[in-house]
Amino acid sequence: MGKSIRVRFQVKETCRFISHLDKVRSFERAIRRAQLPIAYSQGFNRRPRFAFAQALPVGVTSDAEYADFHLTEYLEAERLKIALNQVLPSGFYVLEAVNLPARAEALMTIIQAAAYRIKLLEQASELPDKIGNLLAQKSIYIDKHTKKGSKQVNIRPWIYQLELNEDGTELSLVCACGSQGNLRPMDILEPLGLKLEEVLIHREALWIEMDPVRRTPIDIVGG
Amino acid sequence: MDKKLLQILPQVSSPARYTNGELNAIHKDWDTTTLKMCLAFPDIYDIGMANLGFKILYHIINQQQACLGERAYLPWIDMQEQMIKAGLPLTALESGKPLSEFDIIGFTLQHETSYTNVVKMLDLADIPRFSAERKETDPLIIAGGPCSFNCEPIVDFLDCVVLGDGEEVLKQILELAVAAKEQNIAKEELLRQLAKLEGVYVPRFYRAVYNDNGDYMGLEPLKQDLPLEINKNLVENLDQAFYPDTAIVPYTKVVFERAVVEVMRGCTRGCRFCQAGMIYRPVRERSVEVLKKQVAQLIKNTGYEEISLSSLSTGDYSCIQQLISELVQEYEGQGVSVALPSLRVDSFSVKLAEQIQKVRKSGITFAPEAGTQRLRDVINKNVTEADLYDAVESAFQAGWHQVKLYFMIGLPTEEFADLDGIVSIAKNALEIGWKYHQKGRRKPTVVVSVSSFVPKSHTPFQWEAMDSIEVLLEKQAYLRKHLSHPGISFQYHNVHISYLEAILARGDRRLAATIARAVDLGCQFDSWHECFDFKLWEQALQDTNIDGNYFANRQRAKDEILPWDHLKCGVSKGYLWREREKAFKEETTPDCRFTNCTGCGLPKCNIRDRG
Ligand code: SF4
Repeated sequence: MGKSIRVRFQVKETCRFISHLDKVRSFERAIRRAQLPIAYSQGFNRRPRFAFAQALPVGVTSDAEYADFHLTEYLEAERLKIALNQVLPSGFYVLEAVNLPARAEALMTIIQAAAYRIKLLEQASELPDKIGNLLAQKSIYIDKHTKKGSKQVNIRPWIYQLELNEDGTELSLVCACGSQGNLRPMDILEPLGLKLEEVLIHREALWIEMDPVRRTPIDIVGG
Repeated sequence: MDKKLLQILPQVSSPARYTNGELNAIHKDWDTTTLKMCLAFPDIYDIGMANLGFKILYHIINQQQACLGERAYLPWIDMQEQMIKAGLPLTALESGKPLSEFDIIGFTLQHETSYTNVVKMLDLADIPRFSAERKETDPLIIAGGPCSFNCEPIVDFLDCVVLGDGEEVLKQILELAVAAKEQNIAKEELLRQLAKLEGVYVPRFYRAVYNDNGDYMGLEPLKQDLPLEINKNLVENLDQAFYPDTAIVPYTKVVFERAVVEVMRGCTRGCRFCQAGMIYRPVRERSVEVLKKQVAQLIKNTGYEEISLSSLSTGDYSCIQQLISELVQEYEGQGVSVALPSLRVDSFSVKLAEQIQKVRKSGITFAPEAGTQRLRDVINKNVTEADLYDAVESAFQAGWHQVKLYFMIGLPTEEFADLDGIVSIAKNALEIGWKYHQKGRRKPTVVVSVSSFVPKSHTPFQWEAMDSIEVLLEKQAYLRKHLSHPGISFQYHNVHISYLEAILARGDRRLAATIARAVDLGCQFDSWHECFDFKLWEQALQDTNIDGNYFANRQRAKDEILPWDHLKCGVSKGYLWREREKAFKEETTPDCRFTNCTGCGLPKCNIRDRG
């Protein structure tokens, strides 16, 4: 076993609006408060060494956030989990933690896909048709705003699955997530005629492999 | 969370300001606590979260078993619009209860340009604006903070005002309010009891009197046994004063995010323009030992990455060197740094800053305030040219690339020669910068930041006329022209905001109508340049028959009755006048902490009594 620990944590309603950077800082402070044997980066601006998986879009809650903590000594994963939960703000909760093997691949590079549940706050009309139409298209172009300006990207290949539940109150979405292709769940709202304030989006899972079986960043460690 | 709120949040900027659940926020049970008090900060969350007094009081309220203390801030304009559209009133963060359901609302008055925000918060909370309009069931509206010493313009909106240090008196207020609630005592009677407490002013028990010319002639008590003077509250020993061992940690980036300890309160340098220097006297220090204990607790409970040593003039703290070295040594390894909020203008301060700021990323700031020795003597800013250039030299030498210099324009006796002084200081400072940064890729820069002098109550300049808007604009233009030089950048404050500040800073009760009118016309966030609208204020002044110049630009006579004469900070009016006379003779007064008592008149002073 190595000295690193991988955790899965929740982002609850009260902290869904905070930015990725602010989430990172909340964890930095939690680590300091828990007085964990965390490794620090070198140099003038010493930061505790931990890394998050794919950033969660602002406004979205989650049951599937992952982070790797790099410690200076071996610590039983369960102890880290308990220690963090004692000091994290109430909007975060660590659900599970595992010790990583000595040479585990960085979280950032291995994420492939994500699953979201999109709850509809208002009755939406003709959704099944709109979903059918959307999935029937070969390409769906949306504007992506980057630092260099905006450009058109085709998001269709990133949508793996999109379904409406039986009573028409919830969508489930499986899509690309990671450096190979990344769909922000809110990007499918407009094509479906929905507005951001009419839905609540929740990330249910992150996967590092889709075929033949879906595996989470913690599954691979468990073996 | 309320469904309406859920739907609003994605549509407003920075929604995390409104979501609550921050680390260390206190959630007491609404139903089992007798008295509910909401602290109200008349600006947005991001700014209010940095306020030290607010933090202390929050914990004091919640420490009282019978009391529940929560917080509210003024929502930003987009959020206000959404709330009004959805029919949602202003609520407290913790419980989400409307402000109107609390027993007490406690405002903090940090600066005069937040007065419209106070009224706006009452409006958003559906609480009648004026004390006289409020009913038995409406919350009691109290206020504290530095502006309580010249609170007359806003008192019609308040039920009581607390002067000076709030730690002790708040407990007494709460005790009386709890008893009143348990025994069903009427508000009027409770206010009578409050008016008997030291440092508590109940404005509605007094009537303002004016003569036929419309000059203020003083207050007339409307009931018996009322104090004619309100003396401020004073916490004599800071080591024994309550200080929270924890602090609320916001989820999002706000103005200051640090573990703050207050190393001392008060400042006796005696700058003649500075109200804080007068109203917070005497100087009281916390011991290094106590401070280190507080820092350890705060870091443990918040996990903050920075420790801020707060006070009006931290460089003057007698054990500053020891405190800094010990803190740096203890926390460096954990990635926790130390920050100093204010630097004195000398090389000693630069040495301190060097110790704590290993990376010279941001600039370093000094406040010489005036451009010539003559004018610095007038305002008693005891900084010599040599101190200043030493400080600048040490800063560039230590590796800083940017030096920022704060000045004021419009100071009493100012001439164009004094403005030229600012220009030459800036150029000389840049010259020094080039000595140390010739080769590097980054060039040295000097930032000159200029604000307009606003005469404040309880200072030696409380009788002076502020420069007119035209003169100030002319002076700004003059500086802009002469400072347009590569390597120098010039920043200046909005003159019209300063003019408004000057009206409210020395106004009387007649201004309440103007403030109310301004809010009706759409004024709020007056200290925010992007929100301030001078035309609306002109309109409000006109509609309420107020001549702004009467308050801002008029020279007062020595024996004039001033609208804050009854609000006592301890420093005597005679002392202030003597200081004024010395100012015009260009004579300085040394800091009494390091020389002898200069007779400011404080009834209780540990420095004078030390001998
Ligand atoms: S009473 Fe004397 S020693 Fe005390 S603050 Fe005033 S001038 Fe200074």
